[in-house]
Amino acid sequence: MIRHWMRIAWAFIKRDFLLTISYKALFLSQISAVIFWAAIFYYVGDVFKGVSAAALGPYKGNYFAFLLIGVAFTDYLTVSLASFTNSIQESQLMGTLEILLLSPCRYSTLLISSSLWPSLFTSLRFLLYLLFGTLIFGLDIGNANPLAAVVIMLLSILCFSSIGIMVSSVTLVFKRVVPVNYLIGGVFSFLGGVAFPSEVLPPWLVRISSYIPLTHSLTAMRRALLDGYGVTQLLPEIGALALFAVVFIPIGLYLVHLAVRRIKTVGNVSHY
Amino acid sequence: MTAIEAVNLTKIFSHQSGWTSLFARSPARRTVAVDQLSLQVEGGTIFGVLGPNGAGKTTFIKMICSLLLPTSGEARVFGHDVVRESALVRKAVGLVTSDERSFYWRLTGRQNMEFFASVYDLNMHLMRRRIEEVVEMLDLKEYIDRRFNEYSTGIKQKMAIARGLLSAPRLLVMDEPTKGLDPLARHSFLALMRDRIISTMKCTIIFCTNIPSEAEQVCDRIAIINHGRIIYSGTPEETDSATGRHCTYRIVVRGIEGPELSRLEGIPGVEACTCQHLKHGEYELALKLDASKPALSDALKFLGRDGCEIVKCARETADFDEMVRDLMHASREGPVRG
Repeated sequence: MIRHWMRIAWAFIKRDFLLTISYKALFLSQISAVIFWAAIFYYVGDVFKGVSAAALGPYKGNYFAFLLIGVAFTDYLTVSLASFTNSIQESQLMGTLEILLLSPCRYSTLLISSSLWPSLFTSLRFLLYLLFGTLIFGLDIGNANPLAAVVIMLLSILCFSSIGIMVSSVTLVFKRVVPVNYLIGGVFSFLGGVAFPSEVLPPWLVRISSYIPLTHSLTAMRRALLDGYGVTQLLPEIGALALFAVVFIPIGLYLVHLAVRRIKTVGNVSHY
Repeated sequence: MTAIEAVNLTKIFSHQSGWTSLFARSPARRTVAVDQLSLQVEGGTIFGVLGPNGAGKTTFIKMICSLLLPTSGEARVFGHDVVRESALVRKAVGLVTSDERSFYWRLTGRQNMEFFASVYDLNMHLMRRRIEEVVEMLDLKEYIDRRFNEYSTGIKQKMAIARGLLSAPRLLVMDEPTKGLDPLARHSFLALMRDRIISTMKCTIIFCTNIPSEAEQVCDRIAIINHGRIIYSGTPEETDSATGRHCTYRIVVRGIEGPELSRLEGIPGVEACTCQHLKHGEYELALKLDASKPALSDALKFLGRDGCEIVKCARETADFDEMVRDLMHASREGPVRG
């Protein structure tokens, strides 16, 4: 079973890697854009240097570090939301969806496998953000706890992917759901503390933000990278993320199962 | 062994989709694509599914491949129910479509094959062996390491067949595989099917087409579908007797005079008789008979009674395309079985 899954996972990673590098200019621009965005975050952070902001206290008032980790890590959410939907839309457009649905694999396995390369690519970009931030702009992650960061990253990918899978079930049925992605991405970024700490929001919005996985992901990731928090110190956030994953993943997979059944009934598998 | 068994298979499409289908109160407009279709396909045969555009051929084969759920009725592929045991059905089926989009155009043929083979759960060793086998069988050696977007339509179609054969399926379903091919490519495709695929793979093949002569060339049995119903099922050779149309015999006779021959038209079932003088005392008759009446033996008895010698008697091969057209026209009166 594990061999079967590994084989399929590898096939998707290889396919997507080959397709990505076949568009060389796009690949290079996606990589090189990281350095420009890191520079933008540095100078935005510079504007607020010396400004006393209580909400930034836990981050030693370093807005550059706060913003860089926030935006770079939110890429995981954006990519998770988009990758499942994109994968379905591409296979609908290219006509491969029927061929994939005809394979003996469960569609959920194929769908999850299709998100592996985007997650790996996002990890590469996240590492580059940290690398450029450290080497060029003086980001201090000397105390970082890599193990805790990896645990938070994996749990976050699971949570975000489960939401992406839910959205993809809507894509299967209704074909275009880009506005749903924008809406979820926008709401999560606003409440999750990407560009500013959630604590500056009105109390009722702070309460709502605690029900969003991104809030816990960003809080935990910043603490793991900037303050060196370990897994045990981050248990509340890890517990929250694990709970989100345990609840959302089965719901997402069930919705995909229903969606596949629906398109097989309606007969619009290859429509787009 | 029975490869496919369909009993009263029906598919009705509702023309309301998207958000409206969730809130609509009035019943949607419906199309009956496949209507109580029942058939059996024996294992190891090549079964042609013929019919005009919109007849329900693709809907039927998609239900067989478990890509579409039937509205009612049931179908089994090698004994597995297409709804309840769809994973087993999918494992047994290979699909060849005419849709060249269904490949990754920026990858090479080999990279495409490796990806689909993995999805079909072939391990690395088996995958490489199968790819080599199908490449060899379909003469794709020269092309397999080129990018898919460099291929001609004919090569793309061969790649589609190669993909369909990768998992060595027990049932190969070909949905209009010659669509878009020029006459030369179509001819070589059919030759390839006859000479290589059928003899090498030894699997059951469903060959779906709207060109009757293609089915006649490669299929053991055919079913003609129109408006979602089977209007004929049998061998291609039996089609003419099922049409109820006339058939023509060319008979060369000696020892009888022309005027006497005109009396043949009086025999029930003989629709027309034309006579051509070949050489001294030898005539060629073109006897047009009503296929539904056994008039040939009466005509031969008549000729024998008058003491003439029958030198040659041959049936003129009827045009298969025309016969299929006739069957489709006649389909309003009910199904015809060969």
